[in-house]
Amino acid sequence: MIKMKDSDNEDDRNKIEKLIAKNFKLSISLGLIFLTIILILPVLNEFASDIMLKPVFGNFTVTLIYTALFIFIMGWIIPLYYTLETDKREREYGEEHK
Amino acid sequence: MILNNPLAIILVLLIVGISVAVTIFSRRFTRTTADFYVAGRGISAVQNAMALSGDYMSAATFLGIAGLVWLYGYDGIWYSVGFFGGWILLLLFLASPIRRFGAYTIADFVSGRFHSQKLRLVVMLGTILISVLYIIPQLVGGGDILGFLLGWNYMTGVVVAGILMTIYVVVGGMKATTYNQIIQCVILWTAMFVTVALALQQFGFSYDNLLTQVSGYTQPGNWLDFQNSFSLILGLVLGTAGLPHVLIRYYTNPSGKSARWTTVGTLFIIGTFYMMAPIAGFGARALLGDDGGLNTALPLLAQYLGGEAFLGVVVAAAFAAVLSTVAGLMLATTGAIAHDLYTNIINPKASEEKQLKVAKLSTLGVGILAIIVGILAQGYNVAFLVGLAFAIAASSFFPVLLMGTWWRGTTEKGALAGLVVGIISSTTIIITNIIGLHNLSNPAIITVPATFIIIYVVSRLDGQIPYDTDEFMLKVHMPGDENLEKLD
Repeated sequence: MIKMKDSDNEDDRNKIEKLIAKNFKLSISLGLIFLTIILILPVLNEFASDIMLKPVFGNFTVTLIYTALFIFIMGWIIPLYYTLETDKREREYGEEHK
Repeated sequence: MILNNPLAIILVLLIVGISVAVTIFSRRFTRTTADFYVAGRGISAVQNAMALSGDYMSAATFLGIAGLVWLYGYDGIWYSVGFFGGWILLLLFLASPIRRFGAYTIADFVSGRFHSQKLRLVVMLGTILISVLYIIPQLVGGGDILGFLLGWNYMTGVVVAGILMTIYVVVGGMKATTYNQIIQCVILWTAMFVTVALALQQFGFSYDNLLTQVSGYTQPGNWLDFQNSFSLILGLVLGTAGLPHVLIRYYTNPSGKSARWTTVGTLFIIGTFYMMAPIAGFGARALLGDDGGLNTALPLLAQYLGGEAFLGVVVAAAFAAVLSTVAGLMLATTGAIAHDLYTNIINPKASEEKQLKVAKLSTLGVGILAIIVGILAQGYNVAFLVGLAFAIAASSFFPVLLMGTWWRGTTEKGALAGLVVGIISSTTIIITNIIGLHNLSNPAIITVPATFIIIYVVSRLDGQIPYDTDEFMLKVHMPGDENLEKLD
């Protein structure tokens, strides 16, 4: 393995790894939630079609509401939460390292 | 069919006139390579959100989704969902790191991570491949629209559309492209909004009443089976997050924070647009019956709702969609040729002036090539090329960018193997599908996991982690843009 340029400073290395892990935890949690929401739709349409084709409101079936409305709403809520949370973390980090 | 409509012709000429005026205005701001490629990194989040939306809402999106919903009903909405969903992954995993790295092209980012000219070359070729595959159907659409509108033959339409786009990228660079895309975003969104409002008016402003008229089209399965719908969604979502012309726009933001808010803004603009497009498609089915068409359902619906005048507005908006998307693609391709190939490989000592000159000449070359290929593509069904571009981006760029950004164990050989396997496997599966060897039209379900596995296994076996990986990780992940300056 090529020698790490900054491997001599173990503390720095640990800090970086913790920082990346913290950021990754937020991104991966929200990413998996959204991917599950979006990728489970074809699965539900195939294997739970009785439920998905059930009318909920007039001609709106569960699958139509899920596809044409719910995914979009979640696609706004998740990024907004992520952005506000990341801004907050950056402010806190900035204050800690003033 | 020729549209004999003076208003439509005036509107298209107005769009052309505005584009030229914006280009002349922006010319004074394009003096350095940073101005040309990334508009001096001074585009605000709101401006960038609108420009990215204009860039992303192509003719295929504007006309295609309504057409697919008209033809297949519910299954056409998969495209709305897939095109939208990719932006969330882009925000969560790539937007801030790419901006914090602060370069000009995607090859810069990959090369900065792995210090590899081989990788720079492969990413450059991938960028050109994806962008050209995307440009061809847009130019074909542009030629058709001008022919339809002005009665020009196809070749004249492609040449005029190609020349216009080339001029405004060459002269105005990213700044002119950005301002034009902002204007085109407003035109596209408004045209879709008015179409949907007029369509719903026919049903007492009730979406439910509209759905009553299209009862056979509101359930899944009219077009795609389970395997293909799953793979299509996966390909569109991950492909969006790996498209070079989308990714490079993040370099134009002043900061990582601005890059995140840009994505949130884009999601609100394109989200509302993609919610409206299926309504237009259902409206076309209900009001036109079988008298629509895959690419003409929206214009014909406009004609039904608002006569020749409104048809003209929608056709002019479709032309705006072609302009905005191709300009973004041309900038990505130019960056790959002039910056990655010339400045970083052929002549690293080139002066600032020389670099800018080569960038402009490259744009000119790309424009001429695009026009030639657009003319040669006449009569061919080129719609699948956009799908191919998404499949390649999803199967190669996205996995490499994601793992390179978040897993420090990724090595040059792992990234190279992933890129090559992703590009070759996705292209092979799509071509073998077209010649009828199997029915998997979107390869993402196979190629995306395969690329991730290849990158992981090869990197583990290789173990040659670049010496400054920690420094790179710190630069792209460190909170607070002010910390970046300390690092630099």
